[in-house]
Amino acid sequence: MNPEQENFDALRKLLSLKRHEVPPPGYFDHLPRRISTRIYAHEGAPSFFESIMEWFRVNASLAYAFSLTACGALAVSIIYGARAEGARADAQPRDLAVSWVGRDANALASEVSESTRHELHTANWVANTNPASPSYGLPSLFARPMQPATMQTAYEAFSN
Amino acid sequence: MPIAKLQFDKPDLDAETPLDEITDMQLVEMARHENISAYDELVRRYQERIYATVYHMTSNHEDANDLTQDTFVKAYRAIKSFKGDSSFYTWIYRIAVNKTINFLKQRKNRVHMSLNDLDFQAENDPDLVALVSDKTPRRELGLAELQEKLNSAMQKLSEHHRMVVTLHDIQGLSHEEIGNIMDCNVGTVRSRLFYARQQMQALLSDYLK
Repeated sequence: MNPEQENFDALRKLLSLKRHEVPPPGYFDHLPRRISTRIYAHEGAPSFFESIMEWFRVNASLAYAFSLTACGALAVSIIYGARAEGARADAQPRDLAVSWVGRDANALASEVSESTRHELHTANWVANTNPASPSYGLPSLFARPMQPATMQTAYEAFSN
Repeated sequence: MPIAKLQFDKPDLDAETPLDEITDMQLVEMARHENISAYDELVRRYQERIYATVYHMTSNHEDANDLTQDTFVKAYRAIKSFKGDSSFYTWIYRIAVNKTINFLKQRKNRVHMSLNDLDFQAENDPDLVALVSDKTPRRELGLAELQEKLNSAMQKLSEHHRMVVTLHDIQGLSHEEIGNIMDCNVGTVRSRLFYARQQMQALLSDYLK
């Protein structure tokens, strides 16, 4: 006999010891009841997603059809999305503003500019914590509270 | 022989048919119609083999208990998708093997052995008696210690190698059956078995001289 095979035979004899390892007495008498209890309790019941996946696994042809349809819909949405994006990029901002808001773009621009100025004024002393930045707006906080923080204001503050 | 009788909901089966005369496929068909008694019978037929497979892979009774229950619960949930291409035996084994390998991969190297006791026949097994009394370098080594060394060596194998050794050398399955269960060809089974035995032999060389 091949010595290697003989050694494997010794190993197999040693492995036969594993067959003598047994669970506690009565274990197999109770196991079916434990399993049926878990089944009755709906433990391990598949989730909605798992049920769908299982259904697709069983009905493979329908799964292929569904995946093809989904890929097609995705491709169509990407193509049409890109076209719409291109058309929007070609349009002038003024045209877009008129078309979106439905009124004159100049009026809209002046409103936006006015509101931005006001926000700048309040933000000038509230949010600016940089010690290196000029604090020209500060005198206006007490003297003229609604004065916007501009270079003109700063000049007036220092000259006074 | 089982004494209990099943309540059949299938017209082609006699209500007084003893359990052991019903084939696996008939029981599967009944379990598909949510007949839990039929599924109980399938559990009784395969619980020892499934438990043993998982136990030899994990070397831990509690893990083997959990995984065996999980296997049968999962199989019941999936029984409607069982097409009968393979036997129920192969199918349930496949579920157990996949569950166990996934569990071991998650557990990684955190091995905690909780070994079962040896039955009384172990002391009378002539092969084992010879191993303990003649071939062991330390003559005083008992079967329990040998069992621990053997399990430690098995835990050093990779999951797939351990599975092949378990199914072939411990449970006595053929290469073809193992190939069907593990979804690989017979050549792969043979090469894994050879490599695993070589590793085991090196790990247990002190006890095989």
